[in-house]
Amino acid sequence: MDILLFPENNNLFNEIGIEISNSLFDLYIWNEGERLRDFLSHGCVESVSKENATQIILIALGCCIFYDMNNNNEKFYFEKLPKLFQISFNYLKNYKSQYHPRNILERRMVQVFDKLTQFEKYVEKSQNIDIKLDVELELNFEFQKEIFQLSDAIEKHDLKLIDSLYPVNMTERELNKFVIIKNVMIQVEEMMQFLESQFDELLIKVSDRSAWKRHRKHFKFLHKNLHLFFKMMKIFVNFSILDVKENFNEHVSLLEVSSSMQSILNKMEYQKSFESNLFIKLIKTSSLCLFHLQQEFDDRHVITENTKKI
Amino acid sequence: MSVREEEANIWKKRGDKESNNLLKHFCYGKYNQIIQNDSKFLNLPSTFPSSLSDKVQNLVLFEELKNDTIESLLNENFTLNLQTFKKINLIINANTEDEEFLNASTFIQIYSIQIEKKFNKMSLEDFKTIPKENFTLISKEDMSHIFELHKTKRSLLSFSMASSLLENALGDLLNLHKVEVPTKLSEILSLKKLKELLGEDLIFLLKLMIGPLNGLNLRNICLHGFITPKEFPSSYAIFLIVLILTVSSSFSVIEHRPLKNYHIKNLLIPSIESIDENELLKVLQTSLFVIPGREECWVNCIKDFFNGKYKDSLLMLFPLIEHSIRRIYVIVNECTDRLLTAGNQTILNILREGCSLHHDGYFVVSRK
Repeated sequence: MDILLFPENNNLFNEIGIEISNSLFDLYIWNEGERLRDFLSHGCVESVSKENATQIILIALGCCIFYDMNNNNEKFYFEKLPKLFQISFNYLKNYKSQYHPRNILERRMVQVFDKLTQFEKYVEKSQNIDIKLDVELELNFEFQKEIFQLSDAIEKHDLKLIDSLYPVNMTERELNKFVIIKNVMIQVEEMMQFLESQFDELLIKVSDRSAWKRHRKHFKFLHKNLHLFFKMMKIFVNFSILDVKENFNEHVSLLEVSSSMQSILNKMEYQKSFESNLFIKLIKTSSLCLFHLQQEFDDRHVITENTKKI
Repeated sequence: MSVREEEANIWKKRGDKESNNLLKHFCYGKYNQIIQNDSKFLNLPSTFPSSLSDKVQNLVLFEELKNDTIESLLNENFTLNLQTFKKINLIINANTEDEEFLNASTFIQIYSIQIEKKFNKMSLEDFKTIPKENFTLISKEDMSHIFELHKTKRSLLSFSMASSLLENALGDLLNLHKVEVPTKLSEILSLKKLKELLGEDLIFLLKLMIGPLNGLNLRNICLHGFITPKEFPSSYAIFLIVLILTVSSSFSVIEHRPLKNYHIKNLLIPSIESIDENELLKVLQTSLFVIPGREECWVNCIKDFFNGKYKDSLLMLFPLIEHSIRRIYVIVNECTDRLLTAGNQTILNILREGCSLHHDGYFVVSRK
């Protein structure tokens, strides 16, 4: 089956269409897919759930209807079909790839975005707790304004899952970009976990008054500035999603974000406190991937320009 | 007018001779329905051709019988008498590339028919009385199910299941001896360690049946959907069952690696209800996706599904889908010769030729 679905110079995909292609790639090809066929034929499967089996039955019977000689695409034909075939055809017709690397990445990005939102709400809630903090925080983060300006511009975009109407193949460059964004998402998740545990730990100490002055200072910093982290990360996640979409126009603002982040980073490098170190790490994470995305854009931009000239 | 007929008209308008040929090939299996509308298809053969090449067909469907007595082929405990197999030159000292190897594989069917006769009298209950020592490789429960499938005239499924479970069991055996398990059965059978464990004679018989391309290569022919249930000689299923019982008898208990359980993972699947067999058949018969002669197989898959036998259902359904896709593939890519199984000197068309895998396992393709 691998060779039948090998994407290069293969007219099969034009013939069977995107829905069948996506379903077959999910069943047979994508590494992160279920690979049920492989495991079954190598004798490694103990049991298969009804849902898993149903999915394959629906795809198979849906294909039968796609290629039914009586199928004239008219309402009357579909109404006359036995219900099992009606359901199968509708399922296949609306099939969205589950294991295309882009979809997997997208799901991960949306998850990260949701987690950020949840954590943000949690931190906001904790601000209602009456805690007496007797420390002065003398930090001057001028870059805050810049981040807020950026995020105001960005949060107008909606986070939407992209339809799975992708070609089944990918270029090497696309693939590299996915790998980079995937790795950065993992870093963002790790960073969030670290921050959550730090915040919880400090919150407990401050609440039961066992916190030292140093703890209280850190807590106040986090309390006051975590929203910056959320904004920055949301900017990044949001732009990554836009970048994965095939809408090249969005990249103009991506460049702006990248350069802004770089300037923020330069300013922060002068501050050597716990807080600034933490934020430098955060911004480095974001700017690193923006850098890659920027490169990606530059390459494509050059290609587009050249094509225009031709 | 159906979608396919509309497409046919478009091609005809183009006046592209090649495209017309493609369409003919595509409709090959369904010419009966097509000729009602288009007399041009009358020149197609009156029966749907086999997807097995002549060479493979001769190998698999050899029907000549000899008068060997069944008693000398089998031991009392329903294992193969390897001495007899040596005498009748089914086990010989030959490499898989030798002509003798190919010759030996042509004789398997003759003897497997003899063995099948003996098992014809055996009921499922009788089969379950076979000593437990013969079920160390594959459990008695699974082997009984495989035997039951054979008894109910579903030998292709019986063979497919037996060969896949055997592959996994041989992997378990190698794993016990800390040998890295290759992904392909033919590679597993070529391992020195397995030769040490099973002995040359059994390895030779396994290779003849399911191993390299030069033998019957039944595992690939079945699991990649080339052969139809009607083409598949039922005796091969019983021969493999006896072969597994024979291999099992050489070992005491084997520790098996854990198997995979497939359970729902974020699947939004509509629920479906059973369908009348006639209604099902009616649609299958008019679908170009269903290759003529395989309708019954499709029906059995759906029946198995609604009877809760999901593994049975899918083990047959995957090859059916694969061969239907293969048929479309060869037509749209103008390589109808690849519809057939390859001859034994060329590689079966399941290879990843030209396919490079990226470090993350995804295809790397330059778009044109």
